[in-house]
Amino acid sequence: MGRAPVSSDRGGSAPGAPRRPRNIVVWGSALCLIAFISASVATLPFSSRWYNVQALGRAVRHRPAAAPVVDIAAYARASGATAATVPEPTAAPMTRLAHGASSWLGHDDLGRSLLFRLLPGYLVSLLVGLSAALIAVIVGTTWGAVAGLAGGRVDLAMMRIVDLLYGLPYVLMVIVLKVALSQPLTQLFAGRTRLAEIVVLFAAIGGMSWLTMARVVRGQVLSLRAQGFVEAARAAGAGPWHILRRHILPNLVGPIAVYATLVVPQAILQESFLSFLGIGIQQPTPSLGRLAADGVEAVNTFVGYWWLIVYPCAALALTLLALNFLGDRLRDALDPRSVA
Amino acid sequence: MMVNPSAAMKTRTPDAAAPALMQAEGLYVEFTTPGAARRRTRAVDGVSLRIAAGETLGLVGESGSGKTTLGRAVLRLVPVVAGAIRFDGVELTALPPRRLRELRRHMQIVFQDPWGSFDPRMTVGQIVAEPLVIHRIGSRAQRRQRVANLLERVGLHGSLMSRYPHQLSGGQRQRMGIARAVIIDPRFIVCDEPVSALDVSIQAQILNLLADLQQERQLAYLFIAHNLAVVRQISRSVAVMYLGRIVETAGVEDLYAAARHPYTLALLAAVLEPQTARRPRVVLPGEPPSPMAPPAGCAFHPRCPFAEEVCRREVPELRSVAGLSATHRVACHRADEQLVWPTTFV
Repeated sequence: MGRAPVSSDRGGSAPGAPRRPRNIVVWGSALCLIAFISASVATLPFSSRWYNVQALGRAVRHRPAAAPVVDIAAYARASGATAATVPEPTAAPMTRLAHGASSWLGHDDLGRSLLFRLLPGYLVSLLVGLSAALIAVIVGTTWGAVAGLAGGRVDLAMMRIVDLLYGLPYVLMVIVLKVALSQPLTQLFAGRTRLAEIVVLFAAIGGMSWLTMARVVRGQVLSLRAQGFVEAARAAGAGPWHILRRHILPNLVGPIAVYATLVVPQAILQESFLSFLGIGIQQPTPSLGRLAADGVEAVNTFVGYWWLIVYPCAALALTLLALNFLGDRLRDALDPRSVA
Repeated sequence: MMVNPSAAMKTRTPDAAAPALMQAEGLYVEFTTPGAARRRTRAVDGVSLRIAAGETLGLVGESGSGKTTLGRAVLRLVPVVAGAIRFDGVELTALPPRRLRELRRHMQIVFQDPWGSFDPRMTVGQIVAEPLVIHRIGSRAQRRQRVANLLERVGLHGSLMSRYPHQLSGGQRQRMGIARAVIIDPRFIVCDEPVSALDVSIQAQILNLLADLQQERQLAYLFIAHNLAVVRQISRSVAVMYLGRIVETAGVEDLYAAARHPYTLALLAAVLEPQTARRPRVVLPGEPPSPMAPPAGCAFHPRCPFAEEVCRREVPELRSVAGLSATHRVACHRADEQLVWPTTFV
């Protein structure tokens, strides 16, 4: 009996040293995400002008021949940008060293500021990821928990549905969903095609993301149900509701949180992939995948417009890394055994 | 299939006169093996037992003999196929779930595994208080006080209340498990191998604690173990199980002095006795047969050197034997003889 406090004290003091470097990574990840998100939100009012295609269209039309060099000044004037945020009228497309914050990451083939396209694009990508995670958590958890708790034929039927959906080719499913949902959603959003398009993409990615979550949760519920402490609670006279609320759900939080943080980067990648293929987000709405796709088109062997592909990809990679680190840390934080 | 229920019902423990607190009659438990061939495994095969208030029945047997399943079955933690369980006169097998849950505060269980039986997310205080929470007993402060007092009583420092189970040692965890079982003042506790996972030095402490608590609170125990020495220390009567059946039951001293079933004799010979370095050793041949395919006749006959033709044909009934005490009952066709195992010296 007297041995135990000694051993637990020992366990408490040992892991102090190797923790520091991980904390830097975790804080760095959090800071990186916060910086990206706040920058995206802060510049949203500016960037909405900078990728506004109608304004651009007017600017192009301003020059009857639609010259290869777009009149940035006309574009700026048309989109109503203030003098402070407008680059010099001489800023040509595909240039990097122009003037002001809008040129920090260079310009694209239409002379649009990459920075002001990247930041809202980042927000779009992140929203796709978060909505997929939200759908996965809500639908996947409910589905998996019900199947695991009900057991028997209900479980069998529910998991076969999941298997069935798993078996369908993903890209095909997204296309089918897009086709099926585009029309009604456009009507629902009173003709706002771009909004409807994003919502369809959210639904398509979210509609596939909950499948794995349902499986994870069901497996967890099954293993938790067989745990000794559930039987102990039953022996003490606990009803099914008490067991669910006090034992099953709290023990599900860890795996669900960790898996949800994995869904976010997954969905972002899927969105990027779909946009890259051209069935995701459509121009002119930016997203990280869309920007990367545009960048790839612009890169050729003679002139390396490298910034068009490097910056979106770097933002994507940094975000995915940050989310993975945070998810890893979250798992540790939610495990009481790591609390010394 | 039916066993003769009258034979089972007459099972007596030493205090035959005392009213039974927990009484099981002709209990059958079956498990269905999942898969294409849905085979049935009979884990408990027509067992009867009775335990009076404040008394301990020790239940011994090898792993796989069904003793743990029997312990869970009398608490209705596993479904019972047939048979009757009466707790304090109430028939448990017919009880609706809600009433059963209410009744559970009078019968508790201490688990063998001090690792898996605690929710890793709950603190020691929360775990011990859980039965009170379930049965809505006391206010939060009252519960806390009660838990603190009880932890002190079972030998755990009050400061451990905010710890997590993984921060405790095996002995401390088992004390916590006992505290959780007794906090709602039950009258009957199934102790499912409570000391087999512990160091020998801690085993004695836990056994003493269980014995002390029994005296203080008039607890009845069904004490499950695979070690006859441990059972001898705490029980008043003992039942030996083999492949889902009780093969011999008697008062503890009767059993140790005059065991008749060959299996019990082999178990007794296996108990380590410190005074003799070289001692005759009984070698029990083979392994317990699979309960999925039990042998015909006496389940022990394939391993029994005394088996005769009748043992291969007929299942022996649990019966009292001439010359033994009235509470001593043996399920062996040759129970009337003094059988002696062939021994080898090691």
